[in-house]
Amino acid sequence: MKPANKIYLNLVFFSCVLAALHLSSCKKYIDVPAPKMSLEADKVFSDSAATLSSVLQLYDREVMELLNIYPSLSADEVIMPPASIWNSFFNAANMQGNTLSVIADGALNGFSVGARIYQPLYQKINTANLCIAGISSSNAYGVANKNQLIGECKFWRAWSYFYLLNLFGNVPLNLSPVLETNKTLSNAPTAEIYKQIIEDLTDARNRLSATNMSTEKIRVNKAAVTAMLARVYFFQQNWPAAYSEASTLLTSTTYTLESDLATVFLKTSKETIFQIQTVNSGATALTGVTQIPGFFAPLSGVLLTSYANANLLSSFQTGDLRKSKWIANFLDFNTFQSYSYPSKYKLNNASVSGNEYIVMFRLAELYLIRAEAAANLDRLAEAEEDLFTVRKRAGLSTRLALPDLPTALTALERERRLELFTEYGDRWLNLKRTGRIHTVLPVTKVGTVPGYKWEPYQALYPIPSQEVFANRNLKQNPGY
Amino acid sequence: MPLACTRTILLTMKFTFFLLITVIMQVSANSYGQKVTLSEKNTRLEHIFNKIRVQTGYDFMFSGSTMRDTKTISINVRDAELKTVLDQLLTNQPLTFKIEDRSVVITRKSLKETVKNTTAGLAAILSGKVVNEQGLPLPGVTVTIIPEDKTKKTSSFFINNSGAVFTLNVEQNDLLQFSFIGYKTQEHLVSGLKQPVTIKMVSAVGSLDEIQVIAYGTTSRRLSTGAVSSITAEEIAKQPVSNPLLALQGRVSGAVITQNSGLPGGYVDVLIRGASSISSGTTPLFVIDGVPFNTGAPASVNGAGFNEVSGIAAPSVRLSPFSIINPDDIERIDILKDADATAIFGTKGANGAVMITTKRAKQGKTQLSVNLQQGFGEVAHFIPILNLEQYLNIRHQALKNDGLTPNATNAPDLLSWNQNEGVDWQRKYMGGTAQYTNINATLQGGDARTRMLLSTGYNRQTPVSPGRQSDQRASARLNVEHNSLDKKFNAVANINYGYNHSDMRTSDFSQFVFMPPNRPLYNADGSINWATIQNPEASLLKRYLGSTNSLTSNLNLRYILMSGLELQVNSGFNKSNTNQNQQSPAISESPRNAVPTNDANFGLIDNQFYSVEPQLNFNRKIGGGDLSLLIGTTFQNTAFVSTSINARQYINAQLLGAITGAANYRLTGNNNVYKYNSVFTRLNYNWQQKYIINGILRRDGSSRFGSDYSFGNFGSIGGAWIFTNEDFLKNKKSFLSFGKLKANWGITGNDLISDYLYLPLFKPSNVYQGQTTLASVNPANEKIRWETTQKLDLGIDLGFFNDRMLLNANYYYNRSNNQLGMLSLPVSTGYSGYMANFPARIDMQGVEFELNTTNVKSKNFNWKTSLNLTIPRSKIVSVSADFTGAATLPIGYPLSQFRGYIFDSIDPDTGIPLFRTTAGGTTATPTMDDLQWYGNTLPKAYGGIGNDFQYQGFTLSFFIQVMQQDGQTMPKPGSIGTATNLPAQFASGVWQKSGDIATFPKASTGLTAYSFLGSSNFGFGDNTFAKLRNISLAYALPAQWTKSVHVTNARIFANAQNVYTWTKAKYLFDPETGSATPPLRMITFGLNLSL
Repeated sequence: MKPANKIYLNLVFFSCVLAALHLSSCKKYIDVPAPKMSLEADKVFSDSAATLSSVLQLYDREVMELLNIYPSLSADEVIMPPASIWNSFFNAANMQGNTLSVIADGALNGFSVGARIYQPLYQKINTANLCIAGISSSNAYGVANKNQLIGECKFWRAWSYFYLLNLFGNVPLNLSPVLETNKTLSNAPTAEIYKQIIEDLTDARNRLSATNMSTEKIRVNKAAVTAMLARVYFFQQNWPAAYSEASTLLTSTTYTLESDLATVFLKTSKETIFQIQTVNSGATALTGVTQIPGFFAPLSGVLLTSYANANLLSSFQTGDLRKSKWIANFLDFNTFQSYSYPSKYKLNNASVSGNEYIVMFRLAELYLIRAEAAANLDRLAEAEEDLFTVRKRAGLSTRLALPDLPTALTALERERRLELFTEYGDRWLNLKRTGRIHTVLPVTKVGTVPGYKWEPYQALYPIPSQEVFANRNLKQNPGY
Repeated sequence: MPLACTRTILLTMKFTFFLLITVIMQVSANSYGQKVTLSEKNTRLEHIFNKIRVQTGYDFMFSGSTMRDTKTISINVRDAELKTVLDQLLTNQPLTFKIEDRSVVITRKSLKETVKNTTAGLAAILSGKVVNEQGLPLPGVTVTIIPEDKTKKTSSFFINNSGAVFTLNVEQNDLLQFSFIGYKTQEHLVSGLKQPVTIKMVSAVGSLDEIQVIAYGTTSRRLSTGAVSSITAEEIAKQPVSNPLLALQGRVSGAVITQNSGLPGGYVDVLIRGASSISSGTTPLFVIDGVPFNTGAPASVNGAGFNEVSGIAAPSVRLSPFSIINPDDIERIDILKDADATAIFGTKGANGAVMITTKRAKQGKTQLSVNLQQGFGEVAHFIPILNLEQYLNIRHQALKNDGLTPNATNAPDLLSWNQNEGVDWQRKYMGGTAQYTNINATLQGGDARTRMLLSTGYNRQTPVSPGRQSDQRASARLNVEHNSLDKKFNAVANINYGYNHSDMRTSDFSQFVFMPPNRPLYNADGSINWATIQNPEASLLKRYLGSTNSLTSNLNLRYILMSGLELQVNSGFNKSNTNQNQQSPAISESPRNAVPTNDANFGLIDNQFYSVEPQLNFNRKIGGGDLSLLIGTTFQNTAFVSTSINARQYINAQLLGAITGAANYRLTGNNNVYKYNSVFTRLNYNWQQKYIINGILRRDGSSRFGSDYSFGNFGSIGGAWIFTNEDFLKNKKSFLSFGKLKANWGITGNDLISDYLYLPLFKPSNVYQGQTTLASVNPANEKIRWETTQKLDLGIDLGFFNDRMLLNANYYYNRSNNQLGMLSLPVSTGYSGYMANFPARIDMQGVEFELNTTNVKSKNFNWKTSLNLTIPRSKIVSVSADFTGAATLPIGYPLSQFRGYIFDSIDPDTGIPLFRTTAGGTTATPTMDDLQWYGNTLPKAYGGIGNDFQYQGFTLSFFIQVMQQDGQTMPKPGSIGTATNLPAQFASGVWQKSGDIATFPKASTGLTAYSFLGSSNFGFGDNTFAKLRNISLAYALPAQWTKSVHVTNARIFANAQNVYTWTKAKYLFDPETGSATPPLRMITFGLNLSL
């Protein structure tokens, strides 16, 4: 054989080997296993422990703090510290106050509210959708277990939609984890969203067990769903249903009002129906630390994020223990001025363990729900009794007479504010529910928030502008 | 002009479709007599022709190559006829002549005439050997026999025996061409050689034939079809830099090398021909001895520091991976820029490539050389700032303007602090002298078969801030090369071990420059004073300890299957481990934000990489040209494991060095695997050294892409035309000695993206009820693939005056039209976006020039100049609106354009800054609508000029880098009148009273307008600088001195780096680093000995 031919043969042979290698093994060569620090979606729902882990993600507390602070700022509960604190002598660079002060002023910057409330709520909804779909189609769990997990998902989906609807109005109703269809959803009518909320809650109640999944009341059970249902019916002005759901819990012996206000927000509180655990024990967070989000109690030494509206402070009657126990004073490090701030939670060090959890539902709210439902059902005596129960605990031993519905409604509006201030925007949502927002806010905020001006369209937060951009079917709320 | 006989004038030089050069020889036609009188002994023909021209007025026409191998001649004639004289002169020469219209045309004799006229035989057997400059055999040379008769085939032989001896069948007038990459090509006429022949090859440093390292091979500047810029060990050695990449600064066209801070060990960015990616990595591919160099964490794609783990800021944020590489070990660095040079890297080629070649053992007697260098560094320029009096004055104004009465709370600096004496914090915390020590020893030697080089180095650099911190590197390297007896098998191994240890503080002390000059550092009781948020004394109490061990090795095996066919396997392995500990004792933390605790961070990184690349090289003469074909495949695997531990609440600060002892921990970690496989081929055909074409194909598979797109195809096609080798130019000597045109186009990819992007993943999140929760982090996208960049390059290489002046010019046009980024999704889907490819077009264009000249070359004095200039332009042509960052990318502007308010003036009535509105007016309260795109910091033009002088034993060189760019010419004042000091220009020009036409706004303790100023173009402007980057002076001691102490070579030298900067921006430390610690002015002295 001539050397040249041999060369060509060699070349051909080598090329064939290469081609063969490439076609067969190389696809395999670059096939890498999933990263060791995460799990692929299909691996999650074939394993019951992993499924539970993704359902527990619904208890992520990130949004809780914001659900307290934004609506409370929008309402007349708290305001931003004056700019002089933020831009005080040595801290000019700290500009984080901006977003919050904008909300307090009523001129909402849609993007930031959206990014911080809208997004985490839809993340919860998506997690719930993923889990419902994954669990439904998997055989990895027993029926009871399956019902429990789906029940929890449905509760959280309903809970998230309740806040989306009440803060943002007609939001898209996303009920499946299919990206392609969810991308183009248009605004859903209020009635449809409420219908879905009630459907989810009813189904959840059927699936969930009556007993707690834990001794600490940190997982959703029948009682938590009932409390939520009471709230939803109440907002829908379905008085009989609200009355009956609230009564279910109020007549149960499991929950009783704590007599001492200082123990209401402790994790052992008997008044709590459902609460969120705040103890870390590994993964990416500092271990063994109880992390109450900074809003609930300002971290020691850190500047206040918000302080109590003067109008709220002056609304407390003399002798109301809620003012002395749930409002505290903060001495500013720079100006040596004192500010009052809501301090229902006391834990103020980010790196110690404590005895407080974040309360989601507590009995006092149900008393006030039942009272207002009863008043509307013309059972004023019952309303008076429930109101008295709440006030008595606050150290106000004189009964308030409720001779007629308008008096009852006025008294109950005031009581809700004093009892439930800075709890999940209760004031903001209820002023909107009654339509009183347009008359109340211009009065209570004038003089306490500099330059405050109320415009009716502000009752709804804007849908984040990036949403309207990314989804052409979605309409922005009027006014924005 | 080399030719004496005619006055050849280049009349026109025209570019038409490509380039057409017409040389017209103008003939002088003076009338003289035809009689010739000559008396010459052993004189060159050209010389004699010149004499005849002077006597007769007849012009002689011939080319340089015509005269090759002519013999000297002795002649003695008186009043002879011109024709008779010419007959006599050319009888025994391979030349013939013709007289035409007062000109004598000299041409080569045809074969027939030669046969007729030569007394020697037709064919002969020629034998001899090839040696190097030291006279030692030099195997590896290719000899090409070019017959005079053009109809006959040329043939090539590879002289590859250990003695480098050859025996050839030749004809008397054959031309022999000896070539070897890295050596100057030689041509000899057989008739001009004496048996036995000794061909002495001369190495071709700094010339057209200097070896250039490219992907999977080497080339020379003469034959290259791609755009490659290089620097050599010689240039690296002159610069006292501990990071080899810094030696490139300003010296290569088309590459911007930026140092983010002057702190030792700091990160160095390399950007080749501009950034072509919006959100993926833009760092080039680094290749050391043919093996890709693993530059850091895959999580942060854009050249993460070697030691970067979340939560740990190493000194100056990122520690350069190159800080473990000893610059003294580097032989050369080649920067590959265009598609022709980078397409063979497929998905890794889009950002260009930096090829680092380490030194290899030389053949010869055992030689030990030692290099000692010691030096000092300092901050070359301090920012002029307000003195205490001026500072207090501004503060008083501020309080007065705000209607405030100073009290102990709002103005301790005016009342309770020292009112008489201020401290210049720059000089206190950055005014020290940095120490620089570099020690290097190399032992090498061996014979033709086995050679080895052992080198070890130590480098230490300290900062200018107080304390005894340092960044140290120790390294050892072994290079071994072995050839089998039959020379068919060759193995080269490189094993490099590097150790870097740094205890440099994590704070850059430049951040304290603007503290109030009278700020007390300690309280009366000796404790740290926390009157302001910062206290440099507290920073001094924090510690950082980082060490990196790195093993970089490669093995190259070659076997010659048969003449022209070679099998090669290049494999590499590197592993690096980084261990970091950052300590923050409670006393170093301000009690203002939280109760301080003793905290520490730990970071552990294990980075491992291997690659195996079998290749087949085939070289053959086909169709009168050289064909070379490369076929290869590559398997690469990167495994990256990192652990980061955040430990809080130690009982005692003494315990901060160990993980045990903390009350709380936070742990994060990564474990990524990245695999890569591809096949590639390159075909190069060189016809007669005139036409060269180069084609590349690569098929790449990468584990970073979705299953739909795990494989992709890349390639390029390029060509070069050496027009000076064309007959119409070759035989006409002009000042143009070399000319090459080249053009190439290709497609390259960029896979500098995070791993696993295509997978729908659930990641561990918080813990609830004792169980770690899982969160869905991204929707799946199986369609994720690489970004592509198309590259076009047109280049010209010209050599003038026998290649003493070499000019290289390139025009490039790169277009990236497939970007990878976060596309927005409505949040109602549960995700704010997903990673996907999207259409966007970014165009990058530029011209690059490199000019190297040898101005003077004589026995005692040499002077060389090198010059380079790059003018880059880039713009965004289109961006899909779906991209979440689309709003930050203005069409028609380059990437990274700044947006802000446009500062107009200071309102004379109020002292508040006014900004331009889009409507054309001015306003004190601009809105979002008034934001405008105002500029960028990309270089508009950059380059450098270097000069090297050599006089006997002295060498002197200096290098000046020039950069035309815009930038922030002074630190933006956050506020004027708070407890922050200001640059000295604020001593005047601050608005004080109504009617003032001021440069700066009024002082205030809290003016909203300052925040507008902060987001405006205030202080943004021309930031052009010229920097005397390096001066180097060396003296080689005379041999007679060194001999007596048995030293072969001895050199003493002094180097200075970052000597002086010319810039308008004097309120910055340095226009390169702005207000961060600048590159230090380093002056070193050293000694170089060879035994």
